[in-house]
Amino acid sequence: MRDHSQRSACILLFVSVVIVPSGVIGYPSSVFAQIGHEQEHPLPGATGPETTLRAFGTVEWAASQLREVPNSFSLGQLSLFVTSNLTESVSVLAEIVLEGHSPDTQVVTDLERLQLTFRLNDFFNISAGRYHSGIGFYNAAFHHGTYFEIPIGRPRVFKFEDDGGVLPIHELGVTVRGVVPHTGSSLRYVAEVANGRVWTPVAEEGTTERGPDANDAKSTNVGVSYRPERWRGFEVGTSFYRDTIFQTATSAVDHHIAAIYAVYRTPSTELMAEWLRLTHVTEGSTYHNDGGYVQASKAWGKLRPYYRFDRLAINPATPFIGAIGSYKAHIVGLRIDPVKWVGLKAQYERTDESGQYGVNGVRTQLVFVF
Amino acid sequence: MTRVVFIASMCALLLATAVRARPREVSINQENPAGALAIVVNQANPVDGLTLGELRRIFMFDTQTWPNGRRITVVLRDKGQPERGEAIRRVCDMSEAEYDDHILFQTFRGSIGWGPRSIMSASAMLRFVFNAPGAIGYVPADQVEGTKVLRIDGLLPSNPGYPLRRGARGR
Repeated sequence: MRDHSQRSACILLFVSVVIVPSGVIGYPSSVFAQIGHEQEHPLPGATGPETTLRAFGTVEWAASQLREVPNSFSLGQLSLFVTSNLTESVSVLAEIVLEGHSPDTQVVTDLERLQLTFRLNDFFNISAGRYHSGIGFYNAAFHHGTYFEIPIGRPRVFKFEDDGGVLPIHELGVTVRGVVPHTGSSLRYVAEVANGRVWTPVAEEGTTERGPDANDAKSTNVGVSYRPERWRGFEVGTSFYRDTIFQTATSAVDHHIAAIYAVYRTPSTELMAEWLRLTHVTEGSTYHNDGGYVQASKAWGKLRPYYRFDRLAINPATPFIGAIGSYKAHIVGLRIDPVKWVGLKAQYERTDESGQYGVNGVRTQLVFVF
Repeated sequence: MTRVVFIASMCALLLATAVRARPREVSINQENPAGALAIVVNQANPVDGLTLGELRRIFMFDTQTWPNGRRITVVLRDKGQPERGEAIRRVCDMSEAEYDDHILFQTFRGSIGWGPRSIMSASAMLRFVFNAPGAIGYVPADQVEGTKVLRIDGLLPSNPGYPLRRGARGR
């Protein structure tokens, strides 16, 4: 009986000291194994596409000293931004912009971005579809939702194609992005191949790149950027774009865009400088045009004053873009973020454009995310 | 002899039960006086440590895959919970609102496939990290259970100079 009791006690001790604790230390433990993440916290793609919709809205008011330009309220773009994770590595991004026209509330719809992205790892992400070209910094950083932009409006050189822009802001093709290996996430690259542009003179408003290409010439763009870990928020980069634009079946213009930039962006401070050279080469002639901006802002609580110098120097003889003309502006403004996801901007502008110098204007813009 | 073995067995059972109890839901500030934040990953994750800069890049989504190629899932506490804001401030050196802005901005740029996952409690975060091989999260150091604690700048939460301790300055 005594032996039996001792044996039972030893078994109990073995169970207590060895088996039970091993259930805690080893895997699966009862605490952690009861609920798998599939039930409680599904990862993207585990239970079907996970789709998120955001919208960016804008209301504006502008006035100019020019008598022919009445002061006016207007609706800006309503940007519907949709992202969806199909699997852990595959996602879809779409940006649909609705533009309202004040007189008749007619709405124009544009599919500004639609891209399917495969993320193999940090070194190789490939997207196909319509995207913002990786020319310089601003175009890849800021899209149609104006909430993230500090001043009102994009720099003149980065205006959208349907707003008198000079750059291929949107492209339809394939883009590859990633980190250059062994650089500690500091050096990044982008490489793009796209249809390029079928570009009629700006006066005819014919920039299109959404449908099938009209020629075999593809545009290419490559760029690198450097973000040193030591200076968080600082980034320098450069890109080079080339395309051939056909005027007729036998006549073409070679188009190059070189961009260089330096930016310092933290939640409270923004210093950005960017310069681009647009070169058009025809038979026997080369035309150089320059554009760029310098921008600075600093936040003190909810208040954020800002300044931008904006410049676009166009040679009037340049094919396609000569009629756009040069532009220069000094912009001083203040942004207030009264509540989260709402911003109110007000700015004073002094512009030189289209032969009119020193034109004063004011603009206000209410931006919001929902 | 039998009595001694029996008492020892009971003590061991009690100890095991105590270890198995659900982690308490405590505030980092209130009941974890040292305020150390343990960075936890799945036990299968081959990474044992990160620099604070590497950790920041992960939380900021500049780095989105582990060295073994598995996608990183950043797990934060739910919005509005003080533990979320505190972790973001310590790791990313920014406010919760600024972090939300950053995530939306990066998503809008197309740089982020999926953003951080939100978890309601520390125990749920431990369960998530336990089950998701690519997950990285954080809990008060005295609540770690069933997951691997990463060294940050070569230090564990119990080591002096650990950078994710209340009062420690980020680099």
